[in-house]
Amino acid sequence: MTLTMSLALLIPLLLGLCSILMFVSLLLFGGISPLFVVAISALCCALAAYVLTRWFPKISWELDRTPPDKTIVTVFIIVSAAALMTFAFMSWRQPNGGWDGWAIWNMRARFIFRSGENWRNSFSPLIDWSHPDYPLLLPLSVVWLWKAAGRETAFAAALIAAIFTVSTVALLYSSIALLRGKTQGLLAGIVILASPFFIQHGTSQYADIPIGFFFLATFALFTFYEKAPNANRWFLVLAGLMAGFSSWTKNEGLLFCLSVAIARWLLIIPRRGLLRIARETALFATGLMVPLGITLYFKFRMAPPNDLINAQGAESLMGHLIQIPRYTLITKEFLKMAIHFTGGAAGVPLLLIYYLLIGQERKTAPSAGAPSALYAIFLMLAGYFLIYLTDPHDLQWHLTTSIDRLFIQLWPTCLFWFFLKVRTIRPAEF
Amino acid sequence: MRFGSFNRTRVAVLLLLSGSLFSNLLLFIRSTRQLFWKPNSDYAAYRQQKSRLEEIPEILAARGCRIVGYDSDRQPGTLEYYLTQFILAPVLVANDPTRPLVIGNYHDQESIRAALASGTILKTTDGGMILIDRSPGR
Repeated sequence: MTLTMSLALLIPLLLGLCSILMFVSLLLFGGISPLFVVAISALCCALAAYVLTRWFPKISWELDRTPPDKTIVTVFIIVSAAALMTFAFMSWRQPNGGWDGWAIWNMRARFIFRSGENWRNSFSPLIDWSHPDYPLLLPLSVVWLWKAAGRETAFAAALIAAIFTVSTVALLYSSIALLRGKTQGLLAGIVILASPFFIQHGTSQYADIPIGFFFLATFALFTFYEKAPNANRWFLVLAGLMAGFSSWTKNEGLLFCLSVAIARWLLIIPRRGLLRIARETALFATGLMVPLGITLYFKFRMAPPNDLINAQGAESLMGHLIQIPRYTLITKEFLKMAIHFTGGAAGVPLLLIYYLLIGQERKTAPSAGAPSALYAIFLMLAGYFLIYLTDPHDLQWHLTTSIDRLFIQLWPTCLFWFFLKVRTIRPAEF
Repeated sequence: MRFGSFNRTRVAVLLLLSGSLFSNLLLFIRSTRQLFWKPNSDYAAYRQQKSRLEEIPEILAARGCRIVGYDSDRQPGTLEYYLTQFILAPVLVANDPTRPLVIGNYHDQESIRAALASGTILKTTDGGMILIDRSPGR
């Protein structure tokens, strides 16, 4: 189980590290030499070998070793097989991804891969419609695979999309299984695999599933730090690294870093005091600072201003804030979307019924891991609400075209919180 | 009969499993049908635009061109423009017909005639794309 969890964390982590090293190489040498690609690939292999052979056995643990229910295992296998085939079919049908997939992320990768020393052209204001201010984790991961393969191939972007989608499912399943038992982990895995929009959007090669993975990983690592018998401080450093990678993936990651910090402070200070939070924050910041620093460098030194900020002055901002119909419209859309953003039966209403029938877990020791995830989700939603409120674009259009993607970013973390909170069923009960 | 905790658990798990299976299999059926009977319109447009451009990317590369203008008799900001940029990257495709070198994407004869008169034609593709040199000292 810990192996599944380690692999689910390790592969996206390596992609994040590679993208940062590639960016540093572009900044320092104006390009990415084949030797450099070989060097960072070797470094990744060495790191992976170290984690799997040295670090992983030291952290091996499992809080609940009850064997899983056979019916639930069978359903999990069916749902996984169908989801994998669906993913393959959809990726085959749209090799370049959905609209934003090719027009933003893959196009940025093409610019960097093809332009050599002129790679900064990809942030030109001439193509401001392609959001040149978006961070580079995804495009540079694609470029890394292309460089390693020696040519461009649509398969690389589809592979990265698959890595993040599968890693999200694997991390959700394994982390819940470690903390609450395999049956509970399988149920969490089934729900996410059966969320049609999650699978469908995974194939679109947008950045929403990768950023959702980093959100989930941050909270899973926080919870491991508090719950694992051999609480390892590296979990906090890794949580910081994952939060930092979310900011290097998409702009919402910056809001996430802030939300996580506030959520942790709100929970830890009253319970365990300032000294504890200071120590925890220092470890978290150790992991956070490199990817967040790179993101901020990119934002302030290279990228053009963001369209949501640049397109309006203080006057229009205030004007938007006092328009009551905007509040009503956003609230209505948020509520509507909360019910059906997964695009299928496996969504919030079904989980609510499940919770009402099953009840919540009573036996667990108090922990800040799950509540901080909930606090952060609410802070993120409040942040999204404020962004829509001050949105310079046509509000209805912007809500229609983006709100489902914002909700799917938070979905894995919501499920993580939910399956920690809801009572664990025992095979004998079923 | 009292609806006890045992029955509640069974109903809850059955609901969760059946709802999930239903969503999952429905998406699987839909994706299978789409793969075989409904080609992706964006990808079809991409392939079409790529074939319409023929060897224009190579000509631009040979000339060391970094920015090219774009002119069309269709509304600005259409799928064809975005696809042209995606295909031609790392050349920047400015949605601006006044650039010295312009890619013309015309669909009616009137626009083609006007384009032919507006500069030196460097390439006309079978797909109806025209590379025009509109630089002053051409």
